[in-house]
Amino acid sequence: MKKALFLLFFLWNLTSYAQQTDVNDQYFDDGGISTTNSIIKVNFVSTLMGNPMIHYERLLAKFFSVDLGVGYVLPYYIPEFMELATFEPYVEKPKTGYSFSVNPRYWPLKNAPEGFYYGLLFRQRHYNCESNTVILRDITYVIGGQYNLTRHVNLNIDMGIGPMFSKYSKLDSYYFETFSFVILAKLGYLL
Amino acid sequence: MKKSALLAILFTVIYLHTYSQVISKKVNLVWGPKLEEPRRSHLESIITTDETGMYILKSHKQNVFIEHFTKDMNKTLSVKLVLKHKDKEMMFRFISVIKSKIYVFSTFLNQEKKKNYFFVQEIDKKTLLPTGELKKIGEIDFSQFSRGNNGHFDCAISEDESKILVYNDLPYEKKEKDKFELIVYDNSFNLLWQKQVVLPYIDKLFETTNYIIDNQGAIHFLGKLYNKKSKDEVDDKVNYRYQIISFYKNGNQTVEYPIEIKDYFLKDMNIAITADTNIICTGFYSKDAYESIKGSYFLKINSQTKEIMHKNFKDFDFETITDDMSKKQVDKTKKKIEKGENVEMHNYDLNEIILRDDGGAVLIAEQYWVTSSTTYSTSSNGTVRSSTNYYYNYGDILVINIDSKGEIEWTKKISKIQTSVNDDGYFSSYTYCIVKDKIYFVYNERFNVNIVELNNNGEITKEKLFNSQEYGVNIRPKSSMQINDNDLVLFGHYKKTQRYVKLTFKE
Repeated sequence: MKKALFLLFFLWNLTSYAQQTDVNDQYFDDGGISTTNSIIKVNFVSTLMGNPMIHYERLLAKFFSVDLGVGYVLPYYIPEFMELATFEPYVEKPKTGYSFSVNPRYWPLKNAPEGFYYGLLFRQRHYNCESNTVILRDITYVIGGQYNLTRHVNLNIDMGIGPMFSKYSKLDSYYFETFSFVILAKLGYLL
Repeated sequence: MKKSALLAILFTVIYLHTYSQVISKKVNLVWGPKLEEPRRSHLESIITTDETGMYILKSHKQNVFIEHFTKDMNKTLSVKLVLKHKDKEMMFRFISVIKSKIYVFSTFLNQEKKKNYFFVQEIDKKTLLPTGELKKIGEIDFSQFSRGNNGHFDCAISEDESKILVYNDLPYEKKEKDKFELIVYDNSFNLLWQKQVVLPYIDKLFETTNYIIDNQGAIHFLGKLYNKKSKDEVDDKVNYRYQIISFYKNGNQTVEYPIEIKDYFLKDMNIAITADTNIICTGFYSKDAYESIKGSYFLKINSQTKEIMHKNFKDFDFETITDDMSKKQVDKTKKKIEKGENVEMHNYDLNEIILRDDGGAVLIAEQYWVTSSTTYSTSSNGTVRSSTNYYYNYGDILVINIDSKGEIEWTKKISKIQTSVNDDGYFSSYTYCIVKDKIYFVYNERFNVNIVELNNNGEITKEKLFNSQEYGVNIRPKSSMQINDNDLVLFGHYKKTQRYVKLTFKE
């Protein structure tokens, strides 16, 4: 009898503990939005410029993330802002090519992946043109914002400025070309 | 005896009288060790004390820490406050002490459900970690609003710590009446009652300046009621008056107390509830401007009949107004008064209202104003640059003593001037300590830490307590606190060095 009572008491305590945990779980059940640490994005501004890119952002901490991008080059080239100012496009009649970017981001309010951030964007674009190969490399200081439009969809906009270097196939080294003014806009999907 | 010798003796006597070491004989200082802390860490507040020592709340960048110190000001434990439920992080809001227990309050924004949740959890005093049940005590639904408009939570505790008010400020709607929710718990966080309230004012025309919950569970909101626009002044005319809105009988009875006294503009107000549940309103008034004050007032309102049972208005006297003025300024002020012009004091903020056990009160105010100056420079390539400096000025302290009958007994001014640049007045202002029938004020004056004793007759004694440089830190009065009947803890800070000193006042 004593054993039965003890077993009953033990089982009742287990049930009580399980119920207590469940009561608070309902408040924190947000479909994983607050613990998302990966976002896949499409860069539609660079797509319009002839360089569609896909990005993957990984959160490493609430204050730090890294955005990696890869893309390919379409057979047309739209000059960026600084090139328009100098009236000298750096690339003419591209045929093929590829690009990649690395963008470590610091989130000062520790609210990644949503809110305001700043960081460095390293971007490299390879253009195989009719007569030569052009490589454009820029390192820009960017500031940006990223906001959830729906549960899984977010919008990421950043802008920055920094030096752009170019290398032509006949030359061995990179030369400073101009200052690159970058505006990027991406639509993302939270995984 | 030569005149010069007599003058020297007289001056010495006056100097000694002014800077006698009377107060320092009554105060025992215990310095804690110098602590090397991260440069940007700073003390948020002294949470509480018990028989083992003192508990403090500190922040560094985005992190919050709770630390324990012994009675000798030695640090024994420091714990980073991590608020999580499984893998979900909550946002720290504040810490409170209720019946000697430390509680941490936090929120979680559930973007899926569009709800903002408010939680409370006890902190174990031995481990400084959250312990016990995580309890949800508030909830705001912001599904009809943008994510940034998700309301906010706050708490108030009754004087006897028997009741806790959770105030849910609901999301703002333009051109709609202001709404909020009141939830009252006992000190074990068992729900007593809750009610959603809609104020009869739209677009933030009622700006709450303070709210309290009394020992019976009634809630009193003090606020400014604006005309048309929520601004203190419109077209150079004062645009507000004070109003009290009280909620009785578990929120089922709402009573409004408009506070308007003919011929007096009540510039500042704070309220307190007496043991017999009447409402005390006290503060400063002006004759015609909202940025200056002419005197102090005391009102006692019958909470049942709304009748003003007692009112007392007293202008500041000539001595108080001219206390720290030069002779030229004193003469100018005298002429103004003789001409019948209105003479008022400027830039005073009412900081504290201390209710005395005998039903009287003490008001403490401080002069504060910010000025700025912009300089322009031209570089060699013709670029014009500007830089602006902000000067934070903390001036005199004003103390007003009100007796048990509501009569203003005396007003005293403690003269000081503290000015700093671009630092938000980090080491300025004052702290105070009440020991029996005396108030002690502590503040910085250059590198000296001064102490002023004010007794119940209004007699002031001022003394230098110590020189900060000798101890390697600058005292920050705003972070300091009286921890019991006789002890005041001061916090000192210089670059990476932090240090505490406990002042014990002997009776």
